[in-house]
Amino acid sequence: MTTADSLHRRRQIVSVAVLTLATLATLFGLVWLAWILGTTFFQGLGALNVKLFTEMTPPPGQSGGLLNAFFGSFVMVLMAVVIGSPIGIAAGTFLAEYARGSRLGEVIRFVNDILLSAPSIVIGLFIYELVVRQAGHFSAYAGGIALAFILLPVVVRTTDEMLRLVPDVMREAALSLGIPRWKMINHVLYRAAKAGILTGVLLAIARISGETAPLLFTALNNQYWTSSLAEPMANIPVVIFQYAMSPYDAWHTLAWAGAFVMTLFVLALSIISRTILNPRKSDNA
Amino acid sequence: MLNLSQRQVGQMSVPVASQPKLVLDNVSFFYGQSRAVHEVSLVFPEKQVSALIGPSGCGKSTLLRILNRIYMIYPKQHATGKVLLDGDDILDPRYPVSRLRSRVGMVFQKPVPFPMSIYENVAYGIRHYERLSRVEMDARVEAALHQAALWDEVKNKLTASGLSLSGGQQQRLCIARGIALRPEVLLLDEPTSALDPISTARIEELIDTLKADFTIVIVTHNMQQAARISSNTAFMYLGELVEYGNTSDIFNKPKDKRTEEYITGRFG
Amino acid sequence: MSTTKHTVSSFDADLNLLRDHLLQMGELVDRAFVDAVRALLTRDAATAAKVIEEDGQVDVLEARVEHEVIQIIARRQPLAVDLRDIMAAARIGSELERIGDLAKNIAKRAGALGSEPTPQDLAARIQQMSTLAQDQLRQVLAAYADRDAARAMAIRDADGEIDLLNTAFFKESIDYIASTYQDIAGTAHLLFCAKNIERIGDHVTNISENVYFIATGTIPAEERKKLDTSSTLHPGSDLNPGT
Repeated sequence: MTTADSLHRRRQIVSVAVLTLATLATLFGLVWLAWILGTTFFQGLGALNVKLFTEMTPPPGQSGGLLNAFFGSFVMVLMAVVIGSPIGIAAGTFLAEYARGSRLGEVIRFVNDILLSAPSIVIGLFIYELVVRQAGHFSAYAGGIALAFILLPVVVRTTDEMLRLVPDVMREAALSLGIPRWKMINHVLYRAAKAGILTGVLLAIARISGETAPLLFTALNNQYWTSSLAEPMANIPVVIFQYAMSPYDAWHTLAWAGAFVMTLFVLALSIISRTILNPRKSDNA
Repeated sequence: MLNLSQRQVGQMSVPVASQPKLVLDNVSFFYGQSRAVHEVSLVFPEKQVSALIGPSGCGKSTLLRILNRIYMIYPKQHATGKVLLDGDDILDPRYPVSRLRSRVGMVFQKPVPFPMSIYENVAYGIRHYERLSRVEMDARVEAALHQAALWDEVKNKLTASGLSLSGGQQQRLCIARGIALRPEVLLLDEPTSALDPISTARIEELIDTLKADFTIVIVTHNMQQAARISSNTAFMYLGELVEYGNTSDIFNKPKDKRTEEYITGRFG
Repeated sequence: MSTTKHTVSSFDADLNLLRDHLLQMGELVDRAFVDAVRALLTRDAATAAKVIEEDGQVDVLEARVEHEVIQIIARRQPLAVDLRDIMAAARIGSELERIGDLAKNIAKRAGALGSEPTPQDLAARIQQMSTLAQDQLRQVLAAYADRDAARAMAIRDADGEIDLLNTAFFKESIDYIASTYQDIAGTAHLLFCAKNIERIGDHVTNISENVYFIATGTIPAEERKKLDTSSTLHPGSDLNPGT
């Protein structure tokens, strides 16, 4: 066998080895996902019915659903999006359009990254001190604000990056028509980066819908239905926490069911954002 | 001996006497501290095509971008000297930039239609300056697309995305977008270097018809293209204007040795 | 004239090959001319035959030169001095080919002359003309090889001498016939040969104008003075514009 042949052979061996390792690693990851989905599904099977979405959290011993918890999570996530997205998109736009290469921009990005990786319990504590203590009671709006603080840096980061992916030529083309900068950003840039920014928001939602620690300090929990933002409000993560720690089997089942629904929700968001960002039928590039 | 007029003898003649449209007076350009264009002075005559040629990094694109002050969005870049458009110094900070850009349009090397429909692409710029009724706007859009030799190909799909067109069509859309504002000057920055030969030929044909209405300044690294379509050619090297004159003189008997070396392929 | 090389070296190779072919043609026609005149004056039939046969090579080279010119235009899109170089090369090739034909013509006439030797002074005149023309040819080929405009102009101006000699020969031949009534056919042939030599001189002048064009991009301004007035001499005239 010539040197070329033996080198080729060795490369083939290495290639096969690494490919095997990569496949095993992928399977490893997928296995856990499947296991989680499977476990939550089977354990929560008893509670996976329409009642889950129509009845309130029950006192121990009775059957019920998670309606108020779903509602609470929905309300607080919505609050977080309404508060956090506009600020996040605006900040991301500032970073990408007005602060590129400047010292200020570097600093803001750095601080944003710190906020991004801050432990959520720290944020919860912060809002507790700032809002809950001042108001004197736990509340849904405190929860919403805490979640907003977690969503914000994600949206800032993705908006900044998606805007910077738009080629400069597009900006110059709009400006050379005499269009003022703010109009160019609104009409041209946002439209061009629309898919990416939206994806950023969706991924941030996926992140905050599962956050438990901050809600523990802000919205706490509520066994009953409430639509008032000024009261503590039920939410899925805290309910799961409470029910899982309890000695009641019915509550355990409900907790599993809630976990299953939440996992599916996050999975769906990821898949949706992926299809938005990379549609199968792509435009003429 | 036939008594042919200068014009009839073909391109090998002195250009028809023309009013100066753009007068550059000692224009320099700086990226931060480093100077990219050194005191260039020249005149672009009205309703003629003038070409800027030179090797990479010679400053020809930089010079073009001074003419509509597009460099202004980049904080470390600035220009000195005077550029007179029909007598108005457009480098003067007091001259409103949006007015400048309504008189001087630009088309870039990479076709960049906006992420909107074909109709919107053309109408977008017009809307910023004028309030037109639906009918009037339709007419303006159609006229611009006609002038850009694109109307027949898109008249049935005006609502389709601008990105659904081929490369050559996209570039013509960008040209339509620019001329929709009825500028006086068109700046073309290597408009065909990203296109195939057929699209290139169509755009050269388009430029030939456009010069009746617009003063055109084109940057190109394709010398044969400059020789084909321009009346005047400027050769730049290392930020300096080496030679500027009649295209036929530049390409047949250039005065400067560097010019001759560049155009005959003896450079580098 | 640019002394730097083209970035694409095969372009330089093409241009050099073209030049070499032209110089080769020049050498061939130069030899043909020398041989033809010698064959004429010494009645050497073998040499004459050789000249006639070898003219075919000149034609082959000219066709090759034309082909190369077209190739270079299509592939290289030459500009400025390169373009002038190519266009002039095509024309020079054509001029050289005509010179070759004229030499062949002289060789043909060598066979047509009778066995009597040419009268001394007529032969001397022919030799004088052909030596001058040969020298001009060699000089113009050297001027082409060097793209020397000044030298080309000098050659152009010197053509007047050949014209004068031709006029003188015309007169002398007429006188010879008038005085001896001998060998009229032979003398007629010689007249044609002298004319051919004069035309060779004109073609050399054309080549020199092309060399000037390559170097400067213009054709020489003034019309060349034609000093050959043999076409206006009529029988019985005593005109002799200088010998």
